Amino acid sequence: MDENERPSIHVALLKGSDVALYHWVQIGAEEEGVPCRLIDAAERDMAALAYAAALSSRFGIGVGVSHQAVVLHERRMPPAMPVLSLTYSGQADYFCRLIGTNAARMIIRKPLRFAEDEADQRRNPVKAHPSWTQPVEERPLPTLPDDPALIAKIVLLVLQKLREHEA
Amino acid sequence: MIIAGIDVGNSTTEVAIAEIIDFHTPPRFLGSSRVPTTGIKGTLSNIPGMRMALRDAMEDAGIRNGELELALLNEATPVIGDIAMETITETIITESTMIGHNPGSPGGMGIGVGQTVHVKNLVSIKRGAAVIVVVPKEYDFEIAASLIKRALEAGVDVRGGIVQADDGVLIANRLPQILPFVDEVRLIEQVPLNMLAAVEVGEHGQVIRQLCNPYGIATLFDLTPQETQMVIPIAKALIGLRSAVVIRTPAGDVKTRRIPAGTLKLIGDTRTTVVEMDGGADAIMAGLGQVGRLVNVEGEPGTNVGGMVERVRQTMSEVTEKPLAEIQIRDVLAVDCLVPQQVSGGLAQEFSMENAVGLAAMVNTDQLLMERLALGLAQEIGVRVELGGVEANMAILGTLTTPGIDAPLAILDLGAGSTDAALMVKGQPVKSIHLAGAGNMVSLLIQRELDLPTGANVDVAEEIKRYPLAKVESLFHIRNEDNSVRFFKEPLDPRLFGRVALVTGNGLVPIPTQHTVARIREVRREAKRRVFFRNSLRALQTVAPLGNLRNIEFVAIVGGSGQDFELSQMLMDKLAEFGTVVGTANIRGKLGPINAVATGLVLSYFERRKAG
Repeated sequence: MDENERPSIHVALLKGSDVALYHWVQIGAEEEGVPCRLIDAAERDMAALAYAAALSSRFGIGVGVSHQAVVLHERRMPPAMPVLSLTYSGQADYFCRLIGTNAARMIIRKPLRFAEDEADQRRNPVKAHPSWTQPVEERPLPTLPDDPALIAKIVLLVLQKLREHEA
Repeated sequence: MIIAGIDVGNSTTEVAIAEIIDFHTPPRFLGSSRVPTTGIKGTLSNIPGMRMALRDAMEDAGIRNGELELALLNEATPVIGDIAMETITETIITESTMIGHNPGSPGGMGIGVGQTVHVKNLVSIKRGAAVIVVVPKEYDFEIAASLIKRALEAGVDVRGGIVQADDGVLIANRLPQILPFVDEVRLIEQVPLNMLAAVEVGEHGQVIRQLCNPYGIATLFDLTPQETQMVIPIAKALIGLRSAVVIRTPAGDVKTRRIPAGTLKLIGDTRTTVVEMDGGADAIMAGLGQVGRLVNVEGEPGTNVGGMVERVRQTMSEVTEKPLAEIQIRDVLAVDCLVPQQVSGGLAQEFSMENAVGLAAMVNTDQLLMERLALGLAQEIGVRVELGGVEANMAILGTLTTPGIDAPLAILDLGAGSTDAALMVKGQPVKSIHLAGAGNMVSLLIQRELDLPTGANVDVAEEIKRYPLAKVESLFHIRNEDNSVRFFKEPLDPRLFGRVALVTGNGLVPIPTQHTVARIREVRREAKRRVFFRNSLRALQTVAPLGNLRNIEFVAIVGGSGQDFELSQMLMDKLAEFGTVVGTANIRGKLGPINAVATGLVLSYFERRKAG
């Protein structure tokens, strides 16, 4: 089946919003096992944006995202009455992921999760932005020489050792 | 004259107000009321509840203060009861060796065995070594997945993982092969590292198979028969879960400890027997059948049952203000149940189903208490208060106001604290019996078996007992427990979505539990069966002519639990086996099964005055 025809949660970004926000919604839905798709919608109002996404989704579930708010909508709801609407300042990753989880839970029919019930988790949020610049090991990384010739020599040596080991 | 009948029950206080014009015309009932009883039945703390009930009834009847001439109280409320429950087995893990739980979404599937390794140490693992990765929540799923992927590429044989955050699926999805990941393990820092561990995640819609089988664990860990014996409690605790981890620690020792449950000494008027609590409820009830009329009960000191009986005695002693030694237990009802108990030593708050016995006990109170209560009430409301008659007789009189009913007749009074029965045959004195255990016991069983929160302002178990269930399937419809569907015009609260809720008069109330509709329904009905079937049969057999239930043709159900939405039908079904017809009373043709005693008090006063 064509990727575009597969039933999925539709997510619409408000014009000018960071696409990273979509990824957090997607991650929330992924943990529950439901696919997501980013769609284009021109609506300026958050509820209308989410409703447009819901209308275009085969599941009838849509999410609208902006820098300040994330809204979950369902096709059968009155357009002006979204299922959930979260306004936030900071912790965008947490709120977008939460809405992603809930969008998926609407489909798999599991009870929704609410931010206020998870206050303890929010105090110790999971790391917001995965980044390889953050050290994950306790021991310091060895300082590498910056002479290209020296590096080439080391690489050759390592490859040779590996081949010996294979043999 | 205007008089009021007041019936103080274990859970509610009921009032009937009537006008007696002369002693040739039957009393004309003006109003009635029902409010929660304040304090424990038979104590002075009941007075505020009685005042409230009187005020409501007077309002209902449309009469003013000062018009009431006489209040009647039932004589010597014969019994008060208490309930207690203790587990008789317990699972203890002395070295942490097990994680078994049902996170919403474990990742991947299959089973993996290897050494537990912290995700940060993966880089220093030898090629080909079988490992189980331990991922604390500081490690974001992307970081963790990349580290694991790199380790796999470097030839480390990663077989599965234990994850603290709710990231199991996300990690599993980012790996080149399907591996089992158990997530939401809160106490991950207590997972021992460098130990042999097995991780299992069942297929979608299925449960684990190997780790809940003692021989499965033995196969994975190469255990001796002696060691296999020790893992049986682990396997038992993991049955029915979607995912689990078992870790083999050198000194690991798991055992089911049998708490000395003790013995119960049943002292009767014909003989005395000692029953082992281990034998369960049936053994206790069989013992009870042998001793004749129960005179007292003693629990073995220093055991759970000893503590239980002592607690009941203590409460009763405080209520009745009698010395501890004079409190005599006149009836007990024992009920078996399986209650989830947190496993001591578990890592993710695992539960194990343990055996427990619930005990309802009942002590006789003396008339002095009721006289004191009558005096207290008279002072409080400034109206003459009389003790009106034996409760069972009053209940029969009240029940006879049901349209279409006639003697000979047996009534079954299903209350909150006690189950009572009375038999009326024309020309003979009324025979009655009071037994321990009723509605409150049912609530206790529901609460413990489903492990529901207690305290707060609303008792969830009590609500489950009272209302049918439904599952909220969308924002616009629910599925009732009988599988019928109901649609709503307005969208429901998103908080209800996907939940099991109670269908109450005030709308849907979500239940704070993960149990399914089917499970809650089964526990609810089973609790009602175990308490009310046993007690109804015991009570009716006691009052039946020649002790044979078949000699009772009609039984009318009265009392608060008679209002239960399913209990009377369940009892009808059960008693049909004995050829007995059961119906729910309808006091004064409109009140249903409640207000029988209060109505009877008024009628009894009228009859007495009429007779002279």
